[in-house]
Amino acid sequence: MSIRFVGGMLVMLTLLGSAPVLLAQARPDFNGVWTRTGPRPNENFGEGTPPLQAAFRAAYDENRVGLASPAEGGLDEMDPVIYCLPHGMPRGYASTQPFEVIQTPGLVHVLFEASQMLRRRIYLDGRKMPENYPPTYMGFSTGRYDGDTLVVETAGLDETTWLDTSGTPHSDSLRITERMRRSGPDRMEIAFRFEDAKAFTRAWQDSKAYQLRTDWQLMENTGYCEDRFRYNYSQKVFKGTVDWQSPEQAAGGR
Amino acid sequence: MSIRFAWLLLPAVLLPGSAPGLLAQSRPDLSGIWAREGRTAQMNFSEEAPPMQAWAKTAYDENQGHAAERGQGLDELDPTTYCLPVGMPRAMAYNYPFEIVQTPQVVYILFESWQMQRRIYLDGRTQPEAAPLRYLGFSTGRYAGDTLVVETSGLSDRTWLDNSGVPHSDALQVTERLRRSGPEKIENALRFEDPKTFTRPWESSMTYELRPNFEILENIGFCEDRFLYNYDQKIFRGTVGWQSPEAAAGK
Repeated sequence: MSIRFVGGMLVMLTLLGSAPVLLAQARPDFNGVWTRTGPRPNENFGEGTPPLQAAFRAAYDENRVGLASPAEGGLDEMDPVIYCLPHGMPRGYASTQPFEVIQTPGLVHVLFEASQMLRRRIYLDGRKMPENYPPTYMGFSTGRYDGDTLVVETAGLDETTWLDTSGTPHSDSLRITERMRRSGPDRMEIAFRFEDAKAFTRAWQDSKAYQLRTDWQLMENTGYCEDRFRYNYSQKVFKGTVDWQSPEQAAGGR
Repeated sequence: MSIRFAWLLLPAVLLPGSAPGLLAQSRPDLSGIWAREGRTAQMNFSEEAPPMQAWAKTAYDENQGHAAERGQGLDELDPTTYCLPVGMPRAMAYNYPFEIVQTPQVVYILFESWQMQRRIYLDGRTQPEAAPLRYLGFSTGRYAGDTLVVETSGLSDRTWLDNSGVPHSDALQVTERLRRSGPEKIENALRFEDPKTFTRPWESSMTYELRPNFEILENIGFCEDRFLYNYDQKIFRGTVGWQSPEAAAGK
């Protein structure tokens, strides 16, 4: 037999052996730990004031009383995270703390370091958000691959979060569409589109870029309030108030 | 060059492509959503109190409210009442579901309660000397046949070992042997060693059932009502720069 025939066989066998790898490469790979690119990334979405309807613009202004520059973050005392509430979606993506993506066949997990390590599940199996699903800080997300992009739709968001650090409010009608795409060997871009029929005058968009950190680990994070929790625990300052109820609950309402 | 020689090259070409598949098949499948089976009212690792040193027994009795019969520890002494996480190993005795996700380098255990993320590193990494103590500790694991063997250390002592209020120190080491004991069951054989707390190592066993119809819900812990109320009332207004007295004194 000729060398050419042997060579041809070897090429064919190599291709067969590599077929699983080639098929896997058809689906974009977002696995790993990611952080925002740039030395001092802006933790806001969009430039300047977002397109807010009147009542929500008033809330935004209240979150920013006395601030000179649009780039400054909203007032701490108005910020839900200071009261130990989570960043939620989409604010976690504007954080400078890392997040980790784990892709499995039917589900993409995104684990955040910020804010008590909240996480999301992006369902890829075509399911719809169940009726009467309670609003959550991370929302209910479904996704599908579109070539090199993972397209994600999120709804069912709890209104008790700021969209970003500037203090942008939103309602429970907020819907977020993300298009995630690998933009380089260690880079990813997410294009966010925000729609909120109650809070925004129109849909608006922003993109964020992230870099892969192969040697990073997410650290345990109990949130901004951990010092307070530890102090209260050491002093038992909830002693006598263990069955703590808000006044509404105590009055039998909700 | 002969055909005989070409056939010798065949395994070398095919094996790298199929090796991952072969390796995956030999690795036990622990993935899925799991929850404790059976009677989970008692979320404890033992029927009776474990073998504790004197200081630990004193703390335990206090946590039990000096009750005649062993039961749940007192709410007012439970760190979770003060919004601290359940942590390890208590989370493994909890009756909330968790999800196991296996990847080649890490096994993730994602709990519903407090949204805790446990990472079990399979790649032999260690943590640095000065690494901070964590509520979930630092876990490494390896597969031994059909079992995932996990070692956890670096645990913060600011947690209860379980719901009964058994204390522990930061010297606690937990070894777990997780094994698929049936089509819908995982058995976890746990071993607790803490030379500062217990008079000897002791063991426990937990069984989890597969819950394919469960969904992991969002849960930010027991204090959410309190957070929402404080936020609504801006109760921290004026105390945004809150510091514990120690922190204020420059500790």
